[in-house]
Amino acid sequence: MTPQDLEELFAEARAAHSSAAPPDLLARVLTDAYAVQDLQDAQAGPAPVARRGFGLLRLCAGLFGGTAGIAGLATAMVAGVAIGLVQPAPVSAMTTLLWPEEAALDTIELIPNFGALLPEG
Amino acid sequence: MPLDDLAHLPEETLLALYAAGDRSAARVLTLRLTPRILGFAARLLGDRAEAEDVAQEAMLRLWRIAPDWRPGEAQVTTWLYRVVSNLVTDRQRARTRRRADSLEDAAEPVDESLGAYATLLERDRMAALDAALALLPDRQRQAVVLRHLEGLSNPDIATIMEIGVEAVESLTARGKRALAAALAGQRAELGYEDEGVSP
Repeated sequence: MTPQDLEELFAEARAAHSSAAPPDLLARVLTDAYAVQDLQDAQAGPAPVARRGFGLLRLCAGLFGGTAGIAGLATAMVAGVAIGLVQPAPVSAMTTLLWPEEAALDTIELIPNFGALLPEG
Repeated sequence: MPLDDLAHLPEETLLALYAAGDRSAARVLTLRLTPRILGFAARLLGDRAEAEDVAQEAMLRLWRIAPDWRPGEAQVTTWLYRVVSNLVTDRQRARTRRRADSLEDAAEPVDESLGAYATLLERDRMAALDAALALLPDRQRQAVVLRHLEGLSNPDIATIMEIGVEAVESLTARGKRALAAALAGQRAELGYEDEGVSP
């Protein structure tokens, strides 16, 4: 058989092959399709309702890079408060170095003592 | 959605509609894909009833995967052909085991089985082709059917069979040579005329 004969035979086979599938097979396939669809619908349940009341929080989270950004900011805030309260020695030393005692501002009494005003009546 | 509106949509879109609960999409996909994979399975198995079981099972797997289908990753038809290939391979292995159990020879080289093939041959080209295809080794038959009867490209066949494109080319070339050899003795019976060329 020549290659040309074989190609001709393939072409005939392709044409014959496009015949429809038996109706009972199509019915079985479609029954399966509907059954799987119904099962998946049942498993999915009702569509989830969008949650309300978190619009501002979501907006802030978006501004600061999402949840991870917000978490980083919160950690930095807590660390800052803790350092301020505890005042560890290295931090105090640095504060003293930058703002020595001598550099404290002098106080000027702009308003005289209330007692000094009394004798004048 | 009306069937006419869906008829021109690609399989991937139809599958997404099916996953969203569209019954019409299920009908269009069934009518479009089932005949194709049934023909493919029948060619590989040579048994219509078994091929119908394979086609139904492959379509069932398609329905099940629909909600998890990731668009753009694979063509629906390519995926489906691969499922059919795997199902057919499972059945062919089971057949081989049964043959081994019954002490029959599992391997059937083409040249040795031409006589048996000739006795089974009907006076019909399609039957002759099916019989000749049945004599090919499974992988060769699969490659030839996908390339020359299903009309798929070599890269698609490579994806389906999970081999390289070169291997596909080699399988189809060897398969065609084996088919030509198997059908050579039947040329006149199948109605292929000599074209004035002496042998």
